[in-house]
Amino acid sequence: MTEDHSELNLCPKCGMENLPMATRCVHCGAEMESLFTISGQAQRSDEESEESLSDIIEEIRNDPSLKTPAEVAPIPEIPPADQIDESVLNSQELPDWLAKVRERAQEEEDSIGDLASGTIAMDAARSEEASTGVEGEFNAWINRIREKSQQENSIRARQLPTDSEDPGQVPDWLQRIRALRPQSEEEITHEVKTNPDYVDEMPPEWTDETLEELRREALAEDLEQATEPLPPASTIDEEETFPSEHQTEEPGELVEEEPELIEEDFHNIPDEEEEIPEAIPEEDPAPLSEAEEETPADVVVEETLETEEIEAAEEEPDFQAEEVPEEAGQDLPQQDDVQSEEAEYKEAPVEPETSEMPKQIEPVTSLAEEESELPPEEQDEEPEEAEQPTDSAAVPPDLLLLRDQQDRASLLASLIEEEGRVTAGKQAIRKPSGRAGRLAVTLLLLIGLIVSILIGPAAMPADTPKSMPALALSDQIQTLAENDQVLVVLDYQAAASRELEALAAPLLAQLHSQGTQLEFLTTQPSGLFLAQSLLAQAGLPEDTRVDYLPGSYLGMISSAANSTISPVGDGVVKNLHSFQLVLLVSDSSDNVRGWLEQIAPWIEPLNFAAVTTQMEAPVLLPYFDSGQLVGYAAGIADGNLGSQVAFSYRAYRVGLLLMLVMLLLGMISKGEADAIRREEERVE
Amino acid sequence: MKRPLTLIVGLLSGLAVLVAMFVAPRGGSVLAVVLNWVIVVASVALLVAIASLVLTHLRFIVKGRKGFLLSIVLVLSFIATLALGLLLGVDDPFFLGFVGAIIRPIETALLGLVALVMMSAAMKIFRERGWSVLTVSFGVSAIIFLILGLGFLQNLKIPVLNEAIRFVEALPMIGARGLLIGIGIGLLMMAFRVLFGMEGSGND
Repeated sequence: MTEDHSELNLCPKCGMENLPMATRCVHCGAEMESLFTISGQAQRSDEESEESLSDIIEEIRNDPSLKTPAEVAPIPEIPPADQIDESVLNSQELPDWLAKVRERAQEEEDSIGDLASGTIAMDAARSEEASTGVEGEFNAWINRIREKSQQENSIRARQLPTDSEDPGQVPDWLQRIRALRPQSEEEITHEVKTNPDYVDEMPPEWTDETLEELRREALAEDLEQATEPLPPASTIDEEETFPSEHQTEEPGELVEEEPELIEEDFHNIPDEEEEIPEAIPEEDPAPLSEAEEETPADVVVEETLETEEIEAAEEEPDFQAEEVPEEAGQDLPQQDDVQSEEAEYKEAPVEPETSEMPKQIEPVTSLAEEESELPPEEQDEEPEEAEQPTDSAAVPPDLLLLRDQQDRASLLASLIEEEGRVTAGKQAIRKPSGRAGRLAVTLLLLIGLIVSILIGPAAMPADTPKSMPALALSDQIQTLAENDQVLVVLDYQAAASRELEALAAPLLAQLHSQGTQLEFLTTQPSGLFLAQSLLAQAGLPEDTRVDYLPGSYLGMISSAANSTISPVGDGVVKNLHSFQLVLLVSDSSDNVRGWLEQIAPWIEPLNFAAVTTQMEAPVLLPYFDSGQLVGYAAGIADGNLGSQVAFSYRAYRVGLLLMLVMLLLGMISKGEADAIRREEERVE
Repeated sequence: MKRPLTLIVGLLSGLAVLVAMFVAPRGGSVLAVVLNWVIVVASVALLVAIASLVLTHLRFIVKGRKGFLLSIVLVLSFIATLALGLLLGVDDPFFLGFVGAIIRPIETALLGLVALVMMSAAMKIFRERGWSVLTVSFGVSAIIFLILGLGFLQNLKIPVLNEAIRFVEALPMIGARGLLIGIGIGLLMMAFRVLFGMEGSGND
């Protein structure tokens, strides 16, 4: 193929070189008619070119060399240039100037001018195109070439400068991968083969053979497009890269189900086994058959394709012949009409991953080269190994990937591996709930209490020492004489009745035995029925009167402040000043405080004593210490309850022991947990 | 914005009671009148609260709200108690025994549960709060007083030990005094706030 660029025309749009007979630019598809301009004349617009014709005629007319002496004076009216031919044809008589023009045209070789010759050439080219019908296919082919060129430019821009490496030499990065993962090269068994047909650079000129070849190729594509719609540009790119996909789609319609791959999804991780059959394309017969025929497309291939890929394809005919039929043939056993053409170019290796990894074409191709160096046994085993599920989560660390890309690839690989699996939610480390321990402690408590109760009441030692307030209260009671009035105020709830009644009943019995006059007053509604039990335990008569004072101790304050308007009214408790002792039986230290702080100042020098729960006793201790309380009884020992039948001193002590044990267990368990934690920290 | 009338009434009532306390026993009549008003108003409020309680549960029963069976029990108990009280009188031994036989075991059982909860809380406090001055002091004091409550040491009848036990048993008085002083100061501050309209219903 000659490369005489002097005969080429430049495209007015893109500035690229085109053949002289080309009507459209092969690079950008722009119209080339404007190139056929008159030589020696500047290129103008269409209007200017129309005007130039009349100017030329005018120049010819005014040319003194063309004028005869007789015609100098009378200058006939010259019609426009486009009317000249008609006037000439219509008139039988030719003017002299026209005759001279014709005569000169016959004498001179280039008298018809470049304009006419260009027009003739253009008409010839058009007639040729019209006769062959190539123009439509040619335009489509041009479009594909343009898109392919753009894609490959973008790919080259992203590729690392490894093109200059010797294809027969093992790259450094591949050596490192093999050193790190010997089996990784077995996982990547497919080769990558790019289509060498359509590349950036075009042949310098188009011959009839080239056009005929293009025509045949376009006709073959038309047959394919007749069965399916024209894919979008992105799909065209893939088809151009792997022309064999056209023929794999038609019989099996596998590519239609294949999801459209996004450039971001490309990765170098071996995919799942099920993806392999879908991604395996077949070879397009056209490119390699053309390559073997040394067509102009072959020239394009040799000029543009990466040398490594071509050599790899040529060096591995056996491998490709084995691999492609074995894999693709599983899904596509038919295509008899196509296989005749495929027989030649099945040698071209096609890698399924290539359709997904345009960025990694060269590295994977290099892998294919390395695999071609493997012994035949290993090559025979490669397809089977490739079908086995690979560890997609393992990303070779030395691949030419950015860290972010590698992380994303790892994440994607893990997602792919877990796809379809039944995965349970991330289970947190179960901490021991301690239910068993709690249950054991509760059972221990209950068993201890029940057993201690069932065994029977144990008498409290009679000589158990009492507290100081209890001793003071006992002394105060003993000082009371017969017929002294004692006011007993019942101010407690049913919950504390067992404890308070056990404390108060012996005191009431002692008072009753001393002959004192007991008056009962309650400030709680519940005190009315609680008093019955207390009176029964104290051995008092059942008809003992219990007065109810509404308003709690507020009513008592009012009564103490002014007994004449006291709400007590006709009750026995009309005048507090007549009592020698006020015994407060209360489960609330606040009520006792109210009596001591609000009522006592109004009825001095009345003595106050209290019977309260052991829980409230500490609050009353300051009042006893200050003398506001002559004494109080709280707790089991103060009331000497061991003498009572209903009281189980053993159960009481068992309960205290269990509380003590549980408290110690809580402290010990905390200490053990801290020790374990410290040990774990030390180990870490 | 505070209501002036409410503020003035509250201020005057508080000052009157305070003055009556200082000028006792002459001011006792004033104090008694004011306290009787308080008792009457509180009693009326209690009646209103009882009526509201009954009406609310009647509404629950009519609407069939979740747990309306408990509302039925409450209303029936209230009606039965009211009827027996009106018929037999609040001093009737049968009536008192009837009410006491219901309330006493219920409240006693609740107090027993409180004891168990307290024991469980005492066990958990070390795991939840860790080792701190509060938890350690609580644990040590609880252990000491539980041991003293058992009465083993007292039965030894060792004079020195008994003196030590008495000293230890008097220690809670220190805390109780501090507690009472704090309560007194808090009540005083609250009284001033109410008197000067900074607290209570005087606020809008």
